Formats: sequence, C-alpha cells, structure tokens
Amino acid sequence: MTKLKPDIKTIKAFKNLPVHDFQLDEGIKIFGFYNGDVKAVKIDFIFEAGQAVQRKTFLAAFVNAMMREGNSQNNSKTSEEILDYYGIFLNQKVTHAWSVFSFYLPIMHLDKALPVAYKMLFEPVFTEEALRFLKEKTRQRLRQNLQRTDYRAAAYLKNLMWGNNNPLGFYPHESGLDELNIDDIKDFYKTYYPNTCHIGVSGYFPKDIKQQFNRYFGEIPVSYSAPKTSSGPESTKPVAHHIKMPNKNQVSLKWGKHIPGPGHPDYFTLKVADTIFGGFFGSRLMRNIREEKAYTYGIYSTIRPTQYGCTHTITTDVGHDYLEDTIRQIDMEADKLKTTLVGTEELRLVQNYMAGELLSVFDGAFKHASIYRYLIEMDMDFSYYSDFLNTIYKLTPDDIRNVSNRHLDVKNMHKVTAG
Amino acid sequence: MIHFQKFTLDNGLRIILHEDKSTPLVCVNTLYRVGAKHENPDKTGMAHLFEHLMFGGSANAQNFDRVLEEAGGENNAFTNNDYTNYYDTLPAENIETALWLEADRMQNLNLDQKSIDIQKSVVIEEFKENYLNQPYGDMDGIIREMAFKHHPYRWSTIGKSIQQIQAITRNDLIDFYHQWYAPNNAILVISGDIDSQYSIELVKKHFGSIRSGGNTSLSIPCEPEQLSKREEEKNDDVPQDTILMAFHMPGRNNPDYRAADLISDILANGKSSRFYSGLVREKQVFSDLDAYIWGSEDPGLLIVHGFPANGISLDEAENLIWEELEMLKKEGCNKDELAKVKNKAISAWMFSNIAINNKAHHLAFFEHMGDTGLINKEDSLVDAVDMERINRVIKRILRKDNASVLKYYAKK
Repeated sequence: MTKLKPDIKTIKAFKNLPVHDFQLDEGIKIFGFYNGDVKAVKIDFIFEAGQAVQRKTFLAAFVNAMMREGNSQNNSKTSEEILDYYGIFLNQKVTHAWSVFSFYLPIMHLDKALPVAYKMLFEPVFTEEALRFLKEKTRQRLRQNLQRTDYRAAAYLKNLMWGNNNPLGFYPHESGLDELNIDDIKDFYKTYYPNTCHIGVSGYFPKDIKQQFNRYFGEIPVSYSAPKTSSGPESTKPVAHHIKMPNKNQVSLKWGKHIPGPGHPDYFTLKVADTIFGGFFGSRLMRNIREEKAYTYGIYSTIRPTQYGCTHTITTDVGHDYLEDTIRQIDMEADKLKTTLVGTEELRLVQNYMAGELLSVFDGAFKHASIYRYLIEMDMDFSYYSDFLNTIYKLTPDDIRNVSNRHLDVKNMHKVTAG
Repeated sequence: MIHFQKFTLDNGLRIILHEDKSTPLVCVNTLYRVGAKHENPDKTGMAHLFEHLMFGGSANAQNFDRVLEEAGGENNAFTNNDYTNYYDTLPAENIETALWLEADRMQNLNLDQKSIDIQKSVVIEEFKENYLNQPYGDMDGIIREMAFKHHPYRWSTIGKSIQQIQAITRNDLIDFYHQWYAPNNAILVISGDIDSQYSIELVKKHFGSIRSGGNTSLSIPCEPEQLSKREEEKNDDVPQDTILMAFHMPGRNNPDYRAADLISDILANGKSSRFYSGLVREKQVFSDLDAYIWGSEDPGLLIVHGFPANGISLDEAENLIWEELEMLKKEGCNKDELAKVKNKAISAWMFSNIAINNKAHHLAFFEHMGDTGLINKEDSLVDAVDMERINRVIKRILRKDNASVLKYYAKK
C-alpha cells in the first residue's frame, strides 16, 4: 500500500468508432457502428414523431405504443410470439424529437426480426379496441403517477416552462385521454411516420446488411419533410407554485427555465459552471445539502439541450422541515458562483470529471449509436465532443464566474414544489 | 466466451481480470461477501448503512468520490441481502487511482462520529423517499415478514425501521468493518481496456500488504418449509388496489433455480406470456400483472404482482391468478413455450454481458457463488432445463400452501 495518490493522467483526445453511413434504394438513411466481439446487434428505427409535434396530450406516445398492437398480416400476438420465441427484445421510447423502436437480437435471428419490424412499423393497423385498451392502461398508471410528488411537480413545471400551447408543455390531465380518438392516431402516423425513418445499426452485423435492409425497407420512400411545430416556449414571468399533497413525508422541488443551448458561445462554459453547481455527485449542492446537512438523498442541477430548446432544472426531494433552508442554500450556492472565484483545484477536478464523462460516450458500439441519434437531432457530429473537451481545459475561474453571472439565473426560474 | 484470469493473494484477496479492448474505460468491481442477511435482527440496516460509510473517506484519501472524479471516474454501489458490491468506472489510463482508493478504504476507512451521523441521516431520508413517501413503499417489507419467519431475508436491506438505523452505534460499525471488510472476504474484478500483467503488478502493489481478517463464517438459519397459505390485508392511501403473491423457491445453486426463473418467464416475460396475453390483453382483467424471481443466494421468492382492472375486486383477482396457475399445473408447459423462454433467457444473458461493469459484476458474483467459470456456462445450463424438470418445479412451487398473499386496498 502506498500512501501517495497515483498521478492522474489527463485525457487529450477521443477516438470514435467509424460511422458506416449509407442509404437504401428509396432513401432511408442508415448509420452503423460495428463491433464483432459479441454476435449481437441493436437496430434502432427512428422517426421524427416525438412529443414536440403532437397536437394533443399523449398523442405521440399513443401512436408509438399502438404500432405494437396490430398490423396487416398478424394480429399483434403473433408478432409478439415471434419476437419472444427468438429472444428478440423490443424497447420503445418517445422523446421530444423522436419516436424510437430498438430491436436487440442475436445476429442469427436477423431474418426473423426484419419482417416483424416491417409489419409493425410500416403496416400498422389501428383499431378502436386497441385504443380503448391502451387508454385504460394509461389511465391507471397516470392515477398512480399523479399521487407521486415528483411526477406532479415535474408535470407542472413542464407546463410552466413550455406553456399551454406548446406540445411539450401539455399537462397530463386524465381528460386528455378521453379526447384522443382513432383518427388522431391515424393522422399522426400518416404525417410523421414512414417518411421520416432513420435506421441505426450497432454491434455485430454482416457485410451484406444493406441488401438485407433493402429487401424489407428498400421501397419505402422518405422525404424527411414532415411539418415541424412553429411555437417555441412561451415566455412568461417566473411563477412559484406549491401543490398541496397531504400525508407525504417529503416535498419534491423542481425549478427550471430556458437557457442558451449548444451553438451559443457560452454553452460549454455554462455546462462546466452548472456541473460545479449541481451537475455531479461532488457538486456544491450535493456536498452542501446531502453530505453536510443530510437534508436529502440527492439534489441535481441539469442542463438538457434538445432540438426544441435547452432547459436548466434543479430537482430534489427533502423533508418538510428542510425545505426552507434548502431553498436558501440553493440561492446561496448560485450567488457564490457569481461572486467568488472557483478554486483552481475544484475547477481542475470538474474538468477531469467531465472529460471522463465525455470519454464514456465512446464506450462500445451501442453507446455510439445512442449518441449518434442525438447528434442527428442536434445537427452536429462527433467533433462536438472534441470541441467540448478542448474548451473545458481552457477555462479559467474568471470564465466560470462571468458565465454564472450571465446565465446561472436561479432567481428567474419557475419554482414548483409538491408535498 | 468471456476470457478471464484468476489469482489469489496471500492475504486471501481473490482477483479476476478480463480484457475488453472495445472500450476506452476500465471497471474496478469489489464485492464484499456481506449483506443484510448477516445482520443481527435487532440491528438491521447495518450492511446498507455501511455501504454509505465506505464513501466517507479513508486515511490517505479524505474524500473517495472527489479523488475518483478527479481521475475522470464515476462509481456506485449496492447492497442486497447476500452481498455488497462497489464499482468504479474510469478512463483506462487512470486505473491505478481506483485500485489505490479501494485498497485504502479496505484497510483505513474513516469511521468518525461525524461521518456516521451524516450517513445515518442520508439513509433515513432514503428510507423516507423510497419506503414511506412512495405509494406501496412498505410492500417489500410486509411480504418478507409474511414469507420468512426464521431466515434473515425477513427484513429489507434498508433495515426494518428508522428506529433501528438510528440506534446503530459507532462501535457496532467498527466491529462490522473488522469482521467483514477484509481481503479474505472480498473479490476484486478488473474489466475493460487493461493489460493483465500490468494490472496484476498494480494489485499486488496496493493490496498485497493488507492483513487478512478473521473468520467470516456465520450460520444463517434455514427457513422451515411453509405448511399453509398465509394471508394479509392492508388499507392505505394508495392510488389503486394491488395484489402481491410470494412463493418460496430454491436458492441460486440449486439445479431447480433456473427452472423457477423460466417459470416466471412463462408467466409474465414479454407480451406473448400467459399473464400478459391472457389476463392483461385478452380478458383485460388486469392492467398490469408481473412475475419475477428475487435471484437470491439462499432459497428465496417467486413473486406475482398485479393491478386488477377497474371493477375487478382483489378476491376476484386472486381467483383469476389461481385459475391461470392451476391450468399451468394441470396441463404443463408446452414445448414451444419452453423453447421460447429459454431462447429469451439466453439472449438476455448475452446482452447483459456486453457492458464492462455488468461483466465485472457477473464475474465477481459467480466467484462468490463458487465457480467463476459459470459465467460461460449459464446459457447451456438454461438450455439444459427440460420439460420434466419445469413441470415438476411448477407443481412444487405454485401451490397454495407455499403462498403468501398480500391484498393492498386503496382507501376510499
């Protein structure tokens, strides 16, 4: 055992796996990241059909879910039986920008997965019965969620931040379920689905993967020109709101506002300042509120850039008695970043921590594929990460203080608590 | 095939190395062979509280997290009833930092009163956040107490109560540290972009001089066979009624363990499973109906957990589940169904062995269970479960006499 801490080596550069880019016969864009170590593949079907383009609450998620409920040849049970029988896992996800279907399979069952994917994604049949079924399921889950302090506070905050007229701000009222009808589902599919398809393939895939994809998806025309929503976030004065929920042991605190995203010259610097503030386990908020005062199990400040805007949020759950002081401490920590220079040792630590976090983007083929989807959304490429790395190590304590003064604006956040 | 090398230091520390060049990272995984089942029934929650204290700094590294973060790394840990597992993921070139940190906290942990007070409070907030503030948060604790009367699986890893956590003293924790946190009770796995020879040198340098601890054998009471059905009801301020059924099943090293795992898949894994396709999708009498196993080392539980659809009472719900189980017992599982759940289990196993931290954890786990090589045999062992075994285990486990049933009512 040596008492002396080993020297720490700084990350100088990143090396990403090469991107295999190609197009199918009628234009579907494909990207691939190859790794032959395990005979397993992930195939992502990505559509520009996320929450940001829905006209009604729940619509994007419902269309995504209903595509799995039935298609032209099989009823859904048969598709599910094929997937289950061959050990093919299907995960679905709806984000602001995308609707994603990720198939995980042993490569030897590629010929079983592709026809199922084709039927499910390009020949779905939407029935009243399936809609009713999903509504009931969602209604029950929603009722459960609305009794959770964190869910209620997050939904309310989203509504404040994006507004009632922006699809990202729609509040999940139960009545929103009643308002959905089968025509909404069909229209949304027609407008946003087949013609916006991207495919990502990662892990082990054979040399003739393009031909194999062409057999099933080669004749699907794409235009990538579905209408976008025009309304940005509504700009309103910051609102403070408490949702009273009896018999809860803790209060959920969710604060947030919009800030400049990637592309803005301050963005990387602000990310570093926010990481110091509340972006990782060793952050100032975490040290103060969890490690010193033990008010909470966790507190986080997060910057989340998407194609539709970049948000800055602070979130925690604390006992009722601690709420008032927690708020005081958050304000105090934000002020401190604006007035006092961060120490070089602390800055150094955060620089290294963030470099390590960026390096983990390059951890294997599946991770590359997830990151690449995000890069497509933001219209960026891997150089984004190199630029980020280079910027991080150039920053000085002055830069952090200045950027905090410009953008770390906790006072003007919407402030929601529930409990 | 996951290639690994294994060696043991004189102080008893077992080391397993696995090279994976597809990542720029390494994972250092340390498993301590102590969990909640090793606790005194009057001082529960100690193993989990101790996991928190392991981040309170050690003689040469005052703050574990900060040093690791400075090296570009991240870490996490979990405690279950059987063992406690710590893992650090960091850029490969900084592997030595993680080894230095782990070695220091294995022998020089800071256990001063301040660190203990803080972590006790954090754990109590965690207790509130996950077990009191969440609807149904106390369900795990209730079902454990129903199913286990002797075996220490009768309490959750977080502990029985906030009072018990509060009552743990500094001396209790110092004793716990000396008894369990020693090289002869630990398994160290390094996976990722490593050079095995260099890694061995580093491990020797940092862990070689740590003294081994005492005897860690502890006889854990066996749970006698359950002879009759157990039932409880609870009324609380929750969104909707729910039913939980727990069946005793064999432990991890029993040849019937994998059969029980596959039975839970037959019932509820995937949309073509019996529960989903029959009771959720077709009859629509449940909005959710799940079945899963604990995966514990000693004989544990197969759990069925359902939310009945609107208008279905919990008594009806229970009957509907029993009808489905009785049918499975009577007719047996069919050939395609068994092939399906096996394929699925084998595929899931393959996907769970891609990320370096999962591989490191699995290697440590199988070494803990007595045979690291099982990591490469798991798929053939699943494949070897035949129809005769499945149907026998179905009949043995899914019995009323073997069940604990909790009906959790939403207060009107």
